[in-house]
Amino acid sequence: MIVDAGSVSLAISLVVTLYVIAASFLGAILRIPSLIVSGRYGFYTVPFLLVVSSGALVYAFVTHDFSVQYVAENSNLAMPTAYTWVAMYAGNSGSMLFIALIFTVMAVVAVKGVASRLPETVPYVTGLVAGVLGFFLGVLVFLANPMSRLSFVPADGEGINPLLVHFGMFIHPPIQMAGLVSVAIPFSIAMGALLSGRGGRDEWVDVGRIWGMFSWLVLTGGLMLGSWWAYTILGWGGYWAWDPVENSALMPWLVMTAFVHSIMVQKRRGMFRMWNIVLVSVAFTMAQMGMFINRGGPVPSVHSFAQSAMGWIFLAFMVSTLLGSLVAFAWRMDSLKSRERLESMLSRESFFILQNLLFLIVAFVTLWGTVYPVIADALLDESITVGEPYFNRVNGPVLFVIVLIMGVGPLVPWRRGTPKNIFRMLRYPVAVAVSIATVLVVSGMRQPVAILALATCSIVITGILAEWVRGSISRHKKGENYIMAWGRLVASNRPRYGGYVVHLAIIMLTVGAIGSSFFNVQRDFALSPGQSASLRDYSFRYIGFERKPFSDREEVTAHLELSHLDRTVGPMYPTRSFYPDFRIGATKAAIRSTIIEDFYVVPSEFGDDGGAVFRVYINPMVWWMWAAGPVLFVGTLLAISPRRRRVQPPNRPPIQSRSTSSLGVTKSL
Amino acid sequence: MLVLIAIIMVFIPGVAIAYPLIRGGEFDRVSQKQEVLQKDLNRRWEEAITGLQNVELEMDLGGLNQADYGWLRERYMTDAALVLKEMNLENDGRVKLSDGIESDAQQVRDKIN
Repeated sequence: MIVDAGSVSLAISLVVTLYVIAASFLGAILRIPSLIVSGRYGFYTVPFLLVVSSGALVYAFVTHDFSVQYVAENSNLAMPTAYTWVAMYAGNSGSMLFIALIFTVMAVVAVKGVASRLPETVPYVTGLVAGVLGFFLGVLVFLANPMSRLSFVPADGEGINPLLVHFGMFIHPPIQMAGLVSVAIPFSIAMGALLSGRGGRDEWVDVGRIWGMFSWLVLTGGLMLGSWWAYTILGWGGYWAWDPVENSALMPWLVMTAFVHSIMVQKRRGMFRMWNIVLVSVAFTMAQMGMFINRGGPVPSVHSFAQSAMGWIFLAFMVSTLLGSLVAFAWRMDSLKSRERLESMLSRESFFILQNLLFLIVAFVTLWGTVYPVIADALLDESITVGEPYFNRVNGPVLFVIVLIMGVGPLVPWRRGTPKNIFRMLRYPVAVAVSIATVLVVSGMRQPVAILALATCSIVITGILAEWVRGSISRHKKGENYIMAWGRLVASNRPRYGGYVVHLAIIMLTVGAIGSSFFNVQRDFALSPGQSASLRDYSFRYIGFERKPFSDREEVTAHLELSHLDRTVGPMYPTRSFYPDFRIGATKAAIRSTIIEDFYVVPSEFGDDGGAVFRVYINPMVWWMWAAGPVLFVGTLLAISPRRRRVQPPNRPPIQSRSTSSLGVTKSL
Repeated sequence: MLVLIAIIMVFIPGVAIAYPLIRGGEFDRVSQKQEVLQKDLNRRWEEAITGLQNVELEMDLGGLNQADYGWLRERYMTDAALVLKEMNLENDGRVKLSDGIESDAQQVRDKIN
């Protein structure tokens, strides 16, 4: 009965959502406030309905109700209880229900925020987010209902891919899915402002920026957790493989990164109004492309757990929203003229444009590499694989220039800079970069690209530190101690300095990527029990292995003793498992991680004589990539956090009689 | 039992949807135009103040020359002054933007340029 209640709740949520769409748009067009509020209040109840539906599905998993087709296909009795609820989003229809639930919660928060700040725009925003939700609910109710029953009750379910029965499943897929769908919120806010005829006023920018950054943060979290999972669990020695599904999450991230930067230009200077609408529309299209690929699009991927024919429906939705955006853009284009013009190529605005274009180039290069095999197969009848070398060679140099702009751009003044002014701002960062490059060359480093990249990273760090030092000294001169001066400096402009903290996190990521790409070592060792081997400063002794049978798998765990510079580090236990029901093998790496480098070992095979073959990697600087996550999180929160104290406008100001306001504004008039 | 649950699930959104329609007059009476204008003025005030703070910060950090500093400062101060004047008009019950504001603004702009 609980499952049936979930099914009823899902159907009601679709009906309510359709009402919300109609009431919001009609109310806005016919100017009937009560109809608009009715639609909005109705929308506020949808999360409750979807919580009931999702709860019913989780209940079916936990109670092993195999009469429900989705439960029978995605769980079995052997599955650990803790993972039964995770199985809810392991397949197509369940993950769509999860996406609908998480989206509706985010959308309700967004609509409430927009309602209090942009009363003329909110009906359109409500209608648009309800439209996106309506698509998911329509697919769920009519095409992929996770609550549909089987005509018989199987004794056991089929289970899920054993690689998904892992702690990472609790965090990576939900965050990744939330990230992709969250792009719909800044898109709806921007489009809502456009449709309401207020796109040319910059009133939507604040709330659009906050939701843009939120979406960017969630997308970043999904990407980083996926990389961490791949590196630490899947045991192939790397964290990024340019897999189509990885790319599909990267593409909207790249465009959203461009958007959260260019929206600042609109906020500060009233420029890039058209460009921002285009960017957020492209980001939403890319996010839908990600869902299309995830849902069994034609692009082959290692993420095969969600294969289905659902992809084409997502593609149709993507095309229709893209066309709708283009029509709305063309209709309201006249209202999007910039308040000010670009005054100089040597200005922060022009660096923002350049950076935006480079992000788009990386996004489209990645898109092309991702879909080209399909195009080649369809048009040329050729089977082509686009691998890492293409992406690294084409995207690598562009990403390098982006990092350089990240260092130089914030030091260039708004409106216009002079060569003298820019030289003054850049002299210390460039001097530090040259010094670092010299030290690296003298110390024996011979990879010019890596030296150049590391020196460029130092420009970003020095630029940020120099600004903090200058700002702190300036405040210190006004009587604050240095710590308070720095704290108040950061608090005085949180979007800017939060962004700087995020830049520092990106540099940590970049350093990790440089270290692990240019200086990693990989070697295979075939060892007998008791035999030792060494790689660089590490030596390790193979003790033996232990074979353990489990109900769903056979697990073989090797025992190694690791030493570093002749000092014992400790034991390492890399594991290899085989799941006979799924005919899937899985490895779990053993990693000794330090801030300098990771010693990473995975077993390749075990012999009957007790011998084993190991693949050993030394991956420098990878620790910094994972450490960047919390820094990035803190920086983003700082950038979107509201200002603590607002300067309130004076109440009923008697303009003529007042000699001055707190800012001297009236005096100047 | 299932019917009862279904009724409850229809009832909750039903009430939320119907309430504004039943109390329609209450929602329709709200002067939306005035609310929008007030929010717009508050936003413009915030922007002007933030702009002024940013200009001061940028100047402190050495990112602006004296001419740009003066231009930007005057611009944001003009914006803030216009908002104050519009607020004053609104409080006096004269919501419409009079030609006087525009001419005042023009005079200030002429003075700056």
